[in-house]
Amino acid sequence: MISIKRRSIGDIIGDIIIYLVVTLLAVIMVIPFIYVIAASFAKEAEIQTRPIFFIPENPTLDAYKQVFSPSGMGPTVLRSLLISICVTLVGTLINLFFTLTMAYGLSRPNLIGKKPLLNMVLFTMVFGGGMIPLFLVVKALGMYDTYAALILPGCISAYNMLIIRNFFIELPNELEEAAAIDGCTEIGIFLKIALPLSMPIIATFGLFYAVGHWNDYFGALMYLNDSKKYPFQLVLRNLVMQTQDNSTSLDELPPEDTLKMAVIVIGTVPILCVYPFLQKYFAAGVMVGAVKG
Amino acid sequence: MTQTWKKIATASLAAVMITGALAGCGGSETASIDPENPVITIQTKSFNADSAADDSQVVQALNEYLGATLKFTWVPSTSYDEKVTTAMAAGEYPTVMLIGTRSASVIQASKDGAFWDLTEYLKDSDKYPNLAQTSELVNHNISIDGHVYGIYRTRELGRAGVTIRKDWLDNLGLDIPTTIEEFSNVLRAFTEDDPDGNGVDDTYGMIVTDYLDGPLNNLAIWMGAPNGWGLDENGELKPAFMFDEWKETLNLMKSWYDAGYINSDMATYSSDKWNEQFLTGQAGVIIDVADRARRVAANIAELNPSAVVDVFGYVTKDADTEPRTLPTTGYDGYFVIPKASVTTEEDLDLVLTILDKANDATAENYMNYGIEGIHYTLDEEGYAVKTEDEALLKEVNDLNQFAMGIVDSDDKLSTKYTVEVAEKIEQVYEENRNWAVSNPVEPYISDTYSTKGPQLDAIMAEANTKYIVGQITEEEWDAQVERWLSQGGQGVIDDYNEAYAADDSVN
Amino acid sequence: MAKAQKVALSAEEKAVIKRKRKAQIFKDRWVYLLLLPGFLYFIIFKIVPMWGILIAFKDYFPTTQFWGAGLTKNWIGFDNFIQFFTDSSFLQLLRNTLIISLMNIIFFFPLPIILALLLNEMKVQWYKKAVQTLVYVPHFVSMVVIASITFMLVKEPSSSAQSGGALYEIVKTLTGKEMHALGGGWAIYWVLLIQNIWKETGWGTIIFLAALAGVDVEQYEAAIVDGANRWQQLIYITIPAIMGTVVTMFVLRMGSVLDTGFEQIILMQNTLNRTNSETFDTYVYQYGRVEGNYGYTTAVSLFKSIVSLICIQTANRLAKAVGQAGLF
Repeated sequence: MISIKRRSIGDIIGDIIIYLVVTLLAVIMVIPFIYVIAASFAKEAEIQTRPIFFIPENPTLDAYKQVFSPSGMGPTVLRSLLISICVTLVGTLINLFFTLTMAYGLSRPNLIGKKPLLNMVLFTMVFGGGMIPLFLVVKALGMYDTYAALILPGCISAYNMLIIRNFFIELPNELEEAAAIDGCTEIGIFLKIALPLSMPIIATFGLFYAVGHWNDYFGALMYLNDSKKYPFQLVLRNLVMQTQDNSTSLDELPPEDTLKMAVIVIGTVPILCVYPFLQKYFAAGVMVGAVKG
Repeated sequence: MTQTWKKIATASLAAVMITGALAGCGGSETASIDPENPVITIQTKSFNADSAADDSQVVQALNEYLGATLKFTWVPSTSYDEKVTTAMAAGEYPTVMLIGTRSASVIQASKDGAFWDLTEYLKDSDKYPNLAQTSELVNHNISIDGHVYGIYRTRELGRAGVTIRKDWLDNLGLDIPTTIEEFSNVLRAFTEDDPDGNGVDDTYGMIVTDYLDGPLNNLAIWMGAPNGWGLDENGELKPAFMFDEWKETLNLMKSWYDAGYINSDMATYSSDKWNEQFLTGQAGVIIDVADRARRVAANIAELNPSAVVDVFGYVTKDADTEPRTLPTTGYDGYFVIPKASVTTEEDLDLVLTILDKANDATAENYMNYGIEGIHYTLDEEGYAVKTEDEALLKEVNDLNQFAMGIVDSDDKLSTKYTVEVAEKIEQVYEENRNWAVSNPVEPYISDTYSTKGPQLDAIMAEANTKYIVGQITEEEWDAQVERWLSQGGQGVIDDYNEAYAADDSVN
Repeated sequence: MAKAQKVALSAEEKAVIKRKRKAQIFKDRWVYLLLLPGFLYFIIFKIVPMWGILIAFKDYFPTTQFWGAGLTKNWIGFDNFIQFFTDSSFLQLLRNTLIISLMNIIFFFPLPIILALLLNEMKVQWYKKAVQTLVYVPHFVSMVVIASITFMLVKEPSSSAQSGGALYEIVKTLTGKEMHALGGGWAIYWVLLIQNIWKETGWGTIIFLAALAGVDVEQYEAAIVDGANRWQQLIYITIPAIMGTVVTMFVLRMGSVLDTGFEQIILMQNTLNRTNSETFDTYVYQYGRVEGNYGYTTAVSLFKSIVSLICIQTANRLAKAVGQAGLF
């Protein structure tokens, strides 16, 4: 890319437009989240009366103190955050293992039985037995009230698997043939050639799965019985979704908005931190570089 | 390739059969309850992030008092019904389960005999002195085909109330309204006569939100319409909106809307923000529940110390008509005892005895306040003062979601609220109860309604809103009633009338 | 074809084919090992629960027994389907679902691709990375928050003395018209679409950025030597390179043409726009997950599945017809 030395005026104008448009978009997309952050540091009365603001008048840490209060909900919040992190990590690794192996297997040419398998996958993508039969399977396998129930029933997304498979198909054949001549088994080729070449894809789908686990509350609601096992999203949801309408008893006040905003911030920041670490895999030319190296 | 297909098919089929068989017998094997040390699992709602743990001091104290070991399954309140529906499907039952909403599946499960029929047990005042005090009215409300399947959690019947800016009334030289006419005048004055005295025309009368049903139903009751359903001149049950009083109410609200006494964006104003314009001094009336006044009063003090919040229960149609108020159903969910987890009559007796005891004042004080001297102290007037130690308060969190509050007892503790209006709210409740108009169809089940209910409700909600904001004419509103009838409403009317005719308790 | 050939084959030829097949299977033995975990997953968690589809033909509630004694009971044939198709609101639901979904496909689907291409043109790496991180933040903002921000922006004035939300005022200043974003009519569709664009565009770029990462840099270098300008590079190198991914995503998107989700819509619904915003998903949510009318909602889901299957197959055929690899 260093070879681009002469830049025409058109190029420069193009650049200016691109940078302006993209910057504007970035600002529009991030503004509401800045409001959420600002509100989490504001006093309740300010949220109730000011329509939108980015800097609270009297910044306060009250909401965060309340969320992390060691004698109050702090231990619960920290425990559920830890659970979420563990489920996300373990779950994503399992997702990737199951998805990548199957996607690679299905990408091999001339494989006998490939077509019916693909048809089966497609069939399950469109048709499903619904919640109850799956629940019964999970229960019959002894996974009820265990974290396995949050991880295994969704360990391959057919959607993700098919996209990855297409990437594997598009990998250059020559390398694999060369490896095969060197005496590598298919598993060897998978590990040594296909995986290193597919880091952007692995990073992408790792992120998709991780975010899926992080945001999931429904699985936990269905399959977990013990509230001590609840992941953060379930705790968050119960706080954020509470309004006066659904609290029917006289003394139950819904949590204050500033508290809701604080838990949203706490629930979002950890997963936001993942992306910058993955970005190096998205830099152009990573794959080609890997081929050459 | 066909072979592989066949293999896959065979394998799948085999697997289906096996799991099917497993699932078929799942959930039915439950050991009976040990009478020496009964373990009672309870599924109920949680509102806090950290509900009381089973080993907390309070649960221990409660266990000792009840002679049982309680194990709680806390389900987040915001997704409670979904959990109940799925748990029932999987045969995953606790000993005692809170039913939040009487959904179609709960009704079907009750009819299928999934829960113990408690009708006769609740009349046995020798064995269960507390449970026998359950109100007949509320039991009637929760019954299904005349059978009572649970023990309800008592809630205030006379909860409706109007929150109002008292200082605005004083500024204008007005009193708390007692008739519709006076109420109209207050709304007018709040809009036109500069109640906050700032010389700017920046106020209006009443905040109505996209939850129009609340204010509308209250108004309709005051105007003489039945609560939900009523008997027409032929002795037939008809929905409230088919009565003339309903139309009068709509026209009244429309006149307020047209005059600007109600916020012009009421149809799209989110009910989450109901308090906002009251707090910021832009409007001065909210028709909702009386206890809203307490929340509003607590919040407004911070923003505008000179604001005074007051509350009243109802106005009458004319000076000489009898008051009418809209009651709640009187309960917030009820506890059922699934037959899958409590298999014999002896066990049922044991569980009911424990639930009976859980209604003693001592047990309820544990659930609501914890242990005296640790979680609360008593002030000189006998009010409970909760400790400020969060770690201790946590031990009581959400236990009140197990409290049924069936027995009225002086031994039960209460707290003193700091805001002045709190006492007034209690008076409103009491006064409201005297004039409550009950909903005659509350206990009846309509099969048509359980499949088409949400759609039918939506038709009329839309018609009412559109009529008030002037998007449709009276003729078009009438046409919507016809549409309601033709899309299943007539079926609902027939169902309810059939149930009413078969109901011995009313004839 | 295979069947026609079979007749003509001699025993010897059959044996050859069989031997070849065996050899191929043996050659691929490690591939089968790789496939095993995924295969088991699909059987256990996807195929086994398929019996649930049969619920659509039953009068089924959560406590109804399906297996054992219940196996022969409560079969009602196509009653659930008949009830659904003859329901007065069926056409309404279909219309709303299609409008919301098609608007998303037409207006939303291309946006992540365009944004990814724009990002790809940015050469200041730190800035590019910062922007990438910012645009994907909205994906994590809960729908509840987005709904309340929307309410704030499009709020109409409550009385003549007040002003409305920021967007309401802007529209009023520019066009002189009052915007009833949450009232009846088509407005709600635009609200839902814009929310979706705001929330998911940045997130949607990730997959295309990953695809762009795979483009061979040497191709650009060669093109520059040939004197290709930026636009030409885009048309002749970049776009063809990610076309496979675009087509795959499109085919998959067609498979969910009747999916609208329920949370977003339920949050934005009110009495004025409900007739326009009720979709299959919000309907199934209310009747199935909350009320527990499983027989009925399974029938609705089955209907959705069949439509999906047709759409995804059609899209795949189309993709192949225009020379793309397609999905399967």
